[in-house]
Amino acid sequence: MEDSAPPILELRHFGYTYLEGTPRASEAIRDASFEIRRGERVGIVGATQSGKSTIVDSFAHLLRVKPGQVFYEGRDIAEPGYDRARLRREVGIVFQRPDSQIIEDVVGADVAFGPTAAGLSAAETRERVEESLNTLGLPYPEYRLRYVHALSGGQRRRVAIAGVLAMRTPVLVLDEPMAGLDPRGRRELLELLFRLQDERDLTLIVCSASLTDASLLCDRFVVLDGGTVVMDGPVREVLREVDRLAKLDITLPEPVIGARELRKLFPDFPTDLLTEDELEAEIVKRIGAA
Amino acid sequence: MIEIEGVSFSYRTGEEDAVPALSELDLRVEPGRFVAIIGHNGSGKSTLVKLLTAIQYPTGGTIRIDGVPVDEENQWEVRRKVSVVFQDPDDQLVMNRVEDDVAFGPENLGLPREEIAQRVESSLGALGLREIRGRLIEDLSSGQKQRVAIAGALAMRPRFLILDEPTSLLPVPVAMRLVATIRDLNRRENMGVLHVTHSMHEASLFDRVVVMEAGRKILDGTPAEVFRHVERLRKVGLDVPLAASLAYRLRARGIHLEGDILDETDLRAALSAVRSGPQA
Ligand SMILES: Nc1ncnc2c1ncn2[C@@H]1O[C@H](COP(=O)(O)OP(=O)(O)OP(=O)(O)O)[C@@H](O)[C@H]1O
Ligand SMILES: Nc1ncnc2c1ncn2[C@@H]1O[C@H](COP(=O)(O)OP(=O)(O)OP(=O)(O)O)[C@@H](O)[C@H]1O
Ligand SMILES: [Mg+2]
Ligand SMILES: [Mg+2]
Repeated sequence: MEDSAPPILELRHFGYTYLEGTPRASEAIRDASFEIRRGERVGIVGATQSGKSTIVDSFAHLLRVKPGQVFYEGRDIAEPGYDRARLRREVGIVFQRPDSQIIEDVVGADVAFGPTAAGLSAAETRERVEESLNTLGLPYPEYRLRYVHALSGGQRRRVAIAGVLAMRTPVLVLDEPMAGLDPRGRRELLELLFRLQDERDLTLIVCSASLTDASLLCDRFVVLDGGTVVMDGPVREVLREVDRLAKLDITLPEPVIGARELRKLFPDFPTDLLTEDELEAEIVKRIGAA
Repeated sequence: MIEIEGVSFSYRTGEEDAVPALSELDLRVEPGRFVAIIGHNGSGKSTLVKLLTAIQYPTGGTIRIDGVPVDEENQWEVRRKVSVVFQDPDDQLVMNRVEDDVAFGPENLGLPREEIAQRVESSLGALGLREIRGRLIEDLSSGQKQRVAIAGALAMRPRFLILDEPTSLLPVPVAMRLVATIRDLNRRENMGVLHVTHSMHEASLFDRVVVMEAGRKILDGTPAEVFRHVERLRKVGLDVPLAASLAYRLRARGIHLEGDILDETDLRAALSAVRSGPQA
């Protein structure tokens, strides 16, 4: 079935050089082309410096993008007079450095900032703030009046994520969302994102140097290496090329690392495994339950 | 030696909105030890780091480092004995170029010029940064920046190096190289290391793992001892390395696996014994 609507996000031969025209120019992205359809869940993955955050910044309108390269719903975002406010309302972005997006001093006010700016009523805003904080493990009554700077690192990260979720944007872009979260925080954020995908027709973009959580959240990986797209395909297909991935200085999913090691014992052991359950099942199949 | 005895700490003590962050913590770390600290978000890890580097002072109990009480009077002496590196190197790199940044700490100690040059040289060498010594810090990768931050900490010749989530922004292979480098320094210089991390696998590479929960120490032992407590760790928001978890599940199915299983290699060895064992 062909989808005739334009892709929700599209890069066409996107290239970006920081400090272009100066002696310190550095080319961050070269000739990257891919499209993301509504409702898709895409992981943009690659080593540090591979260009992930540059792509995020291009969606965020933080870079001086050249015309004809970055499109939202078929419209060139670099076009003069482009409606940037709409882009901000529809594409929620959790940036890599949470502190860069904390706007207000107090937790409740910070999370309320987006919904208020989007023109929601006070009651609706309050409800969303409460829900977002609660689901991120920061109970509303306890945390709403705390100062953001007086929180632990992982707690600040949760506030930044809550602020973006409270906007309930149809597109969610998360840049290294799991960094600094404890194991339970990671699991809860995963579950929350699964739930959001179920409840709404969310388009999800996860940027990370780690395939661990991205492989659970996404259906498709776009793999970057040194600013170019080197692989693009369904998650399991990409994971089957484990030896190629292993050369990229990225975090392989833990079950894949396990599977790679067990291949030394069982040469037919598959590597396109996403969960501990799948890994366990493959082991049991080979040694039999006792 | 680090000696923490009955230490409590609250932010905004005495105020109505005081936040207790550590309660009655006891911890001793002998010189030259290689220790990981894990704990849920908000469990007090960074607070402990601040107390050890005399950025904050205990509201109860005492801390001594090589016998020197950590208090306002001794803060400079303490900071010579203990160096710290944080999660985000951008927060602590102050100079423009690599070698100037590494020299910054020793210069502030007012050391003779020769001594500074020699310390910078050896720290750059230890972190493999000699080739990029003249580079601008803003042009470096996050892994390189983290190395520069560690080189700067090292140039202080500390008795203890404290690392607060230095790897949380690094992919695993880069993090593993960093931990290997720190291990090497720990052995060569007999420098004690306290390393805070959210990666259970990384913690399993240390000699000792200290587990924090809501400001208290709840477990303390070798990785094999600590990661045996699968249910307990999960209850406090933590986990065990994947291989340890699998071993736990396979054993629960009645599959007999020999020895401590902390990583994939241990698991493969144990499975290999199972396979060649019974059906022979
Ligand atoms: N503000 C900037 N000025 C100059 N160069 C930059 C800037 N931001 C990024 N770069 C360069 O662009 C390239 C891509 O960086 P980018 O931050 O997009 O990568 P990344 O994949 O997000 O990396 P990380 O995993 O470290 O976040 C790198 O070579 C980087 O040094
Ligand atoms: N400057 C501050 N003022 C008031 N409370 C604070 C401050 N810094 C931290 N806290 C609180 O103290 C407790 C311990 O925080 P700490 O930063 O030590 O946690 P942590 O274990 O390092 O967590 P994370 O894994 O998120 O970094 C938390 O409840 C936190 O909210
Ligand atoms: Mg990035
Ligand atoms: Mg911390």
